[in-house]
Amino acid sequence: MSDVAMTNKSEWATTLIALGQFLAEIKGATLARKSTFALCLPRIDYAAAFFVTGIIKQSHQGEPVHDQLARLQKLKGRWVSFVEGGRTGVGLLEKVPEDIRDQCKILHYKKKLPDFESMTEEERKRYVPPRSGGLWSLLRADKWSSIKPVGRDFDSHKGARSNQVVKATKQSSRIQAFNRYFSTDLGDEILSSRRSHVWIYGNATRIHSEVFETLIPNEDLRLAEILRPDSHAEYAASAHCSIAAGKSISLEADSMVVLEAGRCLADQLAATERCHRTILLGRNSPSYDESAQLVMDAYARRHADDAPQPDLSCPISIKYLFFYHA
Amino acid sequence: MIFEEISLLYSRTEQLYKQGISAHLVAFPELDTFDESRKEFARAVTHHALSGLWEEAMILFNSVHAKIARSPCSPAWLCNEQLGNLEAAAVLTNLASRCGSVDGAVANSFQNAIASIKSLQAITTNPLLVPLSKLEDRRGKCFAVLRDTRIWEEAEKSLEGCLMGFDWAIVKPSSLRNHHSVDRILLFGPPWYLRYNQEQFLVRAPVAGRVDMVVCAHEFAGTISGSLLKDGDIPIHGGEARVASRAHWDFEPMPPAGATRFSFKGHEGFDFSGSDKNITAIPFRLGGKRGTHFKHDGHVWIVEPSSGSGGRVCVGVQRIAVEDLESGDLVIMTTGGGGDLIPLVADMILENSTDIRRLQNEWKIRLRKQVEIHDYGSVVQELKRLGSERATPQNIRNWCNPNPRHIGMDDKEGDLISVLQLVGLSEQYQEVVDGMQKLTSAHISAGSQLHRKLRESLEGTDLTAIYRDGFLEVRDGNEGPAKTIFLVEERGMEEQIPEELEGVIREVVS
Repeated sequence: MSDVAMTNKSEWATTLIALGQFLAEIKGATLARKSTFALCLPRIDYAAAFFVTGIIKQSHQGEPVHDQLARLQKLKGRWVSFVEGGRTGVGLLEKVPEDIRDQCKILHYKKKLPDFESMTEEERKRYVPPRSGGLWSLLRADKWSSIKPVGRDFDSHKGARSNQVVKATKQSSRIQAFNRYFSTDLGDEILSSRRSHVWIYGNATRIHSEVFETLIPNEDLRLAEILRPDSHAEYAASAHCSIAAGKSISLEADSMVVLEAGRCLADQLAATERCHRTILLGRNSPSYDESAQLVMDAYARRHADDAPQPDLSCPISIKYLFFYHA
Repeated sequence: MIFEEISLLYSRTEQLYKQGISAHLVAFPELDTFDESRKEFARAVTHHALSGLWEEAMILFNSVHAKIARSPCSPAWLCNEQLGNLEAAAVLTNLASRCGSVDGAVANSFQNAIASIKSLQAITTNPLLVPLSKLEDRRGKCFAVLRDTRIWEEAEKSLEGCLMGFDWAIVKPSSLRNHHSVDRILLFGPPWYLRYNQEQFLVRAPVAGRVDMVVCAHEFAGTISGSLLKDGDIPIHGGEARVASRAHWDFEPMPPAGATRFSFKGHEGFDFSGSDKNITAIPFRLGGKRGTHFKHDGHVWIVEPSSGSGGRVCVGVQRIAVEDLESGDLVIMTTGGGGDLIPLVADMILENSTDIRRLQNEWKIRLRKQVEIHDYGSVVQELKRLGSERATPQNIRNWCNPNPRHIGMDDKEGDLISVLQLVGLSEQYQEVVDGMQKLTSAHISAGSQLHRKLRESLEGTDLTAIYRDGFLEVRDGNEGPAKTIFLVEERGMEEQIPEELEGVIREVVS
């Protein structure tokens, strides 16, 4: 299947990403007001995942990617991938210079010192320290553009194994594949920095499978690499979302929450009054009429009529309402 | 469903929202005449506050009209199915003889309705088939949507002549909620009828980009909104639909989706009145004048009848949400009651399950007997004296719950031995404990094997008797556990019931 064919067929997904961006933008601009975004869709599948992708994308926009030093300063102390001598390596970015004439220092691995306390005096005397405490790469400015976050930590005493390096490289290329398919411009920075967190409440089993299964044949692309749900240990340090089921919601004010409308919607709406909430209504759902009525009731009680509206061409199969509820 | 499939469904929806529904209006003068006379009769009966057989005749006429107007089946066959049975024939004969003793408006309208039925009985081919035989572009997969599985066999016979070239099948509306995409769907009935049955999702979230609606011209009315969030209607081409009114709904044989028109006889078993936990459940009237409640957010297993070889053979089983269970479905239950089939399949897995369950039932029955003789307070006191730590009225109710899913209790705190001492079964303590452990393991295994085991045990089963009797008992061999397949006749409105009543089969009164 060509990229073009996929892009046309996935216009709905691109729209959901754009709507997610809109919400993240509004949230940043209007802290005092809480918003409700109701999306009415033919199917609810994948909707939460793409919508949250939009939120993540918007939250990471505006990073000074052209200013390499500013970008690298943000990565200092993190595990990064980089290209040196035609090969991709993975290491800990230890030092970022203040001047572009200087070099970045990346630690591959640090040699582990022996446990001196468990050694006899004789053994301690015989011990010869290694010539070097580890292995570093020094990168000049022309290589800095290749330095990218890998989104996870490795053991600094062992360094990243070759298969782990391959995996880290793949993550980056998958993001690029996603950008091609869905006309987005997600940067590698979403792999490690945590600038937003969204809670998704719905059919957790189904959402997890949508997020972790390959999205597009032959691309090995998974939405999990963008959404980085905190349920997965690998993403715990850089998670962008939590996926949960049920109606017991206890979130801090100002949180962003995506609700898949079902029988619990009334309780969920009551529990998220102080949050920015997005409600996904599947028109095929047995509880669609009831859920839509709850949304319309909330709309009738809306705070004001001055909520901005998304400015995008939307497929007619996707209907939405955006309003301030507090 | 995978991403590509969802993308396809979105493009189908786009196509339908842009192009609209094709309505094929069919002039059916004989049915139109019957429609007028049955409405006239219904008004007269209501006006003169007649009840009993007169009301029954009203429902019969409404049912005949609904079936002929919203299916492709032969009107002659449908009249015979609806009115040919002894009960219906007796109603009509009885009323014919009483026409002289009622108001002229009632008598005249009754006789007019009977006369127009006679003209319908002479029609063997439903005029609704005419536009279907003229459909162009016969490529791809096409579904004819019919909710009542009882008429599938006849519908297939009627459709096969005019759907040649299509790869077609008959499906239930609920099966299209999460179905993968097809090329075309055929709906029988007017737009308002989709709303009446809460089936607008067939058009709002379509599985096909092309929807053909075959409608009798005399009842063409109503619109379908694209969503409930501020937007317009989905275009319907082929005719100017009138505004749907309550008048359309008032003459339907069944109430709109959600209402209840039947009730249960008092439950004559264990006293649940002391139960302190209520749940939200949906009542269903089943075949054989029985009925049950299922938890509203629960699931049940249904039989998939063959749509290719006559609609009377089981070709598989399917787990569906109770929300989607509707009249015409064939729901699988344990013979003793309960839509939860875990115990049933557990019994297929466990070799000597009959003996184990017999022993479990024995102490439960004996404990219940103690409660009936002495009351809860005394039994609690006695159990505590015997060493039980957790004896309370609610716990005792749970321990002796007759539902086979409730194994009884875990063997903790000396409760079980106290109960067995109280009911005179303490010598079988170890046997009871072993049995509980085996049942627990079997229930866990059953959960993962449910689909396969049910399919294996029911595939190929002849379902003819269900359509005749309303239910069918199926047993694996001589010793295997028995299950009953019930025809769902009617669905009621959500209500609160004691938790213990869920899945209990009870007698129904209309």
